[in-house]
Formats: sequence, structure tokens, C-alpha cells
Amino acid sequence: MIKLEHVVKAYGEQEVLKDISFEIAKGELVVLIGPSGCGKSTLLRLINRMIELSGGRILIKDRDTRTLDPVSLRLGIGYVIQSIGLFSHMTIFENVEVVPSLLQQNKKLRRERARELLDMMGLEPAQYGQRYPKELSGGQQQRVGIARAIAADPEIMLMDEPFSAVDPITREQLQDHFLGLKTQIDKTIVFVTHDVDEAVKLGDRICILNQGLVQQIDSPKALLHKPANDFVASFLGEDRELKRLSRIPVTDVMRSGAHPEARTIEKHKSAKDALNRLLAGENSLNVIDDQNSIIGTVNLQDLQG
Amino acid sequence: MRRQGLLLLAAWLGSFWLFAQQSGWKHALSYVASKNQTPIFERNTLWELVWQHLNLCLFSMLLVMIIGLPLALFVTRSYGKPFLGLVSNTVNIGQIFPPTAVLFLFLPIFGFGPTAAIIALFIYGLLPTVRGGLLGLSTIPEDQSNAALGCGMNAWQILWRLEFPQALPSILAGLRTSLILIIATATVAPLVGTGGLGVPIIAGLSTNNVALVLEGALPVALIAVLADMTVRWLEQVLVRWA
Repeated sequence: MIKLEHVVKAYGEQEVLKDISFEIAKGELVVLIGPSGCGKSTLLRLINRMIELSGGRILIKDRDTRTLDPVSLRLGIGYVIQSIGLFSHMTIFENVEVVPSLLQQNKKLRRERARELLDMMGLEPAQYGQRYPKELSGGQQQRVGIARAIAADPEIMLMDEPFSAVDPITREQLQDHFLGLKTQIDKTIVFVTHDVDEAVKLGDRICILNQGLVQQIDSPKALLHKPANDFVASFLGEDRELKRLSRIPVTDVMRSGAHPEARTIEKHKSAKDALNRLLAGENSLNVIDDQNSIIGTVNLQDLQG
Repeated sequence: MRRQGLLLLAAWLGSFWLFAQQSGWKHALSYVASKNQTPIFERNTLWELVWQHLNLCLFSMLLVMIIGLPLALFVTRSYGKPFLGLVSNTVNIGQIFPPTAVLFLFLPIFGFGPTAAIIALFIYGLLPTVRGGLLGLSTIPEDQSNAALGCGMNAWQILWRLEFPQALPSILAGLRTSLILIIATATVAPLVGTGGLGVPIIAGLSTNNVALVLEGALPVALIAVLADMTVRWLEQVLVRWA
């Protein structure tokens, strides 16, 4: 869907991005992460040509973005930014309908779509639709921001630290909501964050950037288990094995069989939950399904990847 | 808001009814006039003077809008930026001179008559409108400009859908100040040979006749206050989001 080939971005003498190449498959969510100043936001903004390339090329559906008109390119890409950027002089409905109205879609249809989207984002349309952005909380505003980005049903979404301006509890809610949404909407998403936990939670793959280069790009599990170099290891943190375990369900690490005296753990719990219980003094745990029948067993050895 | 609008309309209609009461004004003003002085300006009725005054203001205000707003727009575009300093300083100069001086400066060019007065009032009233436009158009919240660009608006759409509505409060505030300034300053226009409510004021001042001064000054004050309230009301109606 999106293909980056030897992407270079320089401001004067300084090369912010040196040689970036990777591909993003259709329907995939790739997280760009790295220390501040690593060029992750720059890379995102190169994709919809908010800024222009200094070298290399970016292909979207096999077409070089430089050959496309930037305005129509952006109309086909949903864009969510950290500062949300809702238009303060427009109502919530009008905000959500911005791109459909730029595309001159039918007024009635686009209002219907706006209602649907607000509903999907957990905002009651009748209650919020006619309000102005300043009357909403930060978390609610970002929900509207996401609804606005997907209103015209773009195939690609670019999200630049969308959840980092809200408090931790709201952030978690937004992330959970977004994960649920992601399975419904089936979009190719490039997501920038500086929060490793968020990256591990949301990403199909994570791309770690530093000093203008891709340090490693892989699935969260692989990344956490086998960091490619010291930078990646230290960036992911000393607790990366715990993060990895939080990503995998307990059913992935269990052995078949059952332990006669062990207590039980439900199958939808994560391996990290199991570890927590085991460290608390259990020798083994039996994994049970929704009917309370035992489907496997797990002990500390099983958790050592 | 609707109620306020109706009240304003009633106030305007009431004022015009009041301006039409020539004999009423004569009677009322005779209490302040001394015995051997005329209590009211005889050559024109108050009604005529009010309309002359409003005409002067209307034309200069139109000029202010037609020239001032595009000027502010031009110097806030990327291609007009180099002229920002020039424009902003030039409109400042227009207001440094006292209005009578501006009037007399244009006398040799346009001669006696309404043209000189309108041009002078225009130059004098230009500053607040340009300032308001500059302020509004140059302080668009950056996150919103970014979002507008990112979601695929072209330059024209950004102007009409984002910049203009965002700048509207400042633009209206600027227009309001210009309008009040012009309504008040138009009272010196008779110095270059035009009519308006300045006529009885100047006649009254030169003959030490308080009644004549009041005949001009009271309506000017009333119109200025009402104009101010009307534009404020308009600001409320048009800018409900702020």
C-alpha cells in the first residue's frame, strides 16, 4: 500500500532522515517510534506531502506521490494530529463533515455518515453534534478528530501522536476504543508515538527510528524478544520481556495437559497475568475456557520464550 | 439575540422619527438658545442634515471596506508578505494627522465638495479596519491551519472555510471602530464645503450658539452609539462559536 524507497529529508546541511526504506501492507498498522527529534513525525508528513522529500521516493498504491496533486492526495488520506486541530468555528457535525463536503458529497448522506461515526466513537450525535469544539473535553475532541479523519472513508490514515495530549485514563480508553474500531474499519494506518507501551499495544509492526535511520522494524513480540541492537534494547526498556508477555495470550504459552492441584486462570488473560500469579507463589496454573473446563497448563518454564 | 435585534431596529426607527420632528427640536432647543439667537439651523432641516451625514459616512465606509480588507488579505498571503511593513506604516500615517489636516491636505487635489471629504474620511478610517484584518488573518491557530492543510483543503478553501471565519471577530471589531471614527469625524467635513450634521455645529460654534451645536451633536452621538451597538450585535450573531 505504502512503499518508502531510500527516503531522505534534509533541512540545509542537517539530514533528519538519512535512508529510510520499508513497505506497509494493506490493512496494516505500523507504529513509528523513537526518541524526540528522530524524524518520526517528519516521515509521517512526507507521506501526505505536508513537507517535501529531499531524496528517494514514496509510492502509494504503486504511484509516486510526487506525481500526484498534493491536495487530492491528502483528500484520500485521513490525518489526525496530537493537537487535534478541530475547527473552532464549526460545530461537531461540520467538523466531521469537512472532507465529505470538500468532496462535494450529498448533504443528507454526509450528515447521516457523521451521526454514524459519532455514534461509533461513543459520542451521542443528538447531544454533541450541534455543539462547538470548546464545549467538549480533550478526550471527546480527539474522538471527533478521529471521526473527522475517517469520515470520507480513506484507505490510509496517518496519526501523529493522537492520544498523547490527554490524561492517562482517557488515553487508555481511547486506545481500547481505537483497537476495537481498527478491526471494523480495515485501514492502512501509520501511527506515530513516543510511548513504547502504546506502540506495543496498537502496532501490527513497530518501526524504531533513531538518528535518521530505521533501527529495527518487526512485530512487537519479535522486537521485544530479539532487539536488533543496544539502542533498540535500551529504548524498549529493561522490562521489555514483561511488555512482550503482556502482548501474548496465556493460551500461546500453555502446554497441553492439566496439573492436578493447580488453581485456574481464564484463557483470555495475558501471559503477563499468568506470570504475576506464578510469582505470587503458585507452582502451576490450569488454563480454563468459558465453560470452565481445563484446556492446558502453564508454569514458569513455559514463560521463558 | 433575536430580541436584541428587534430592539435595535426599534431604536433606529425611533431615532429617525425623532430626527424628522423639526418643530419639536425647535421648541426643545429654544430653551437653551439665548433670546436673539435662532434655536435651530434654518437653511436645512435636521432630517436633510442627517441624511447628508449618513451619505458621507456610507461612502467612506464602503471605500474603507473595499480597499482595507483586500489590503489586509494581500499582505497576509505569502506573496504579499514583503508589503506588510509598508502597508501597516502607511495606514498608521493616515491617522497621525488630525482629521482637519487630512481634509485640508486633499483640498487642493479634489477642491471643495463631498469628494475631498469622503477621501479624507476614508484615509482616516482605514487604520482600524486594516489593523483588525491583519490581526485576525495573521493569528489563525496553527493546529487548525495544519489540520486544514492535512485534510486536503486548497489555498482558496483554507481562506474561506478557515481563515475568514476565524478572522471575522477581529475584522468586525476593526470595522466597528472605523465606522464610529468616521461618523464622529464627518462633523468636520463642512470645513471643505459639504453638508452633514457638522454644519449646525460649526455654525453654532462660530456664533456662540449652544442650541445649534446641540442640534448637530446630539444626533451624531445617537447615531454613533446605535451604530456601535448594531455592529456588536452583528458580531454576536455571526460569531456564535467564540
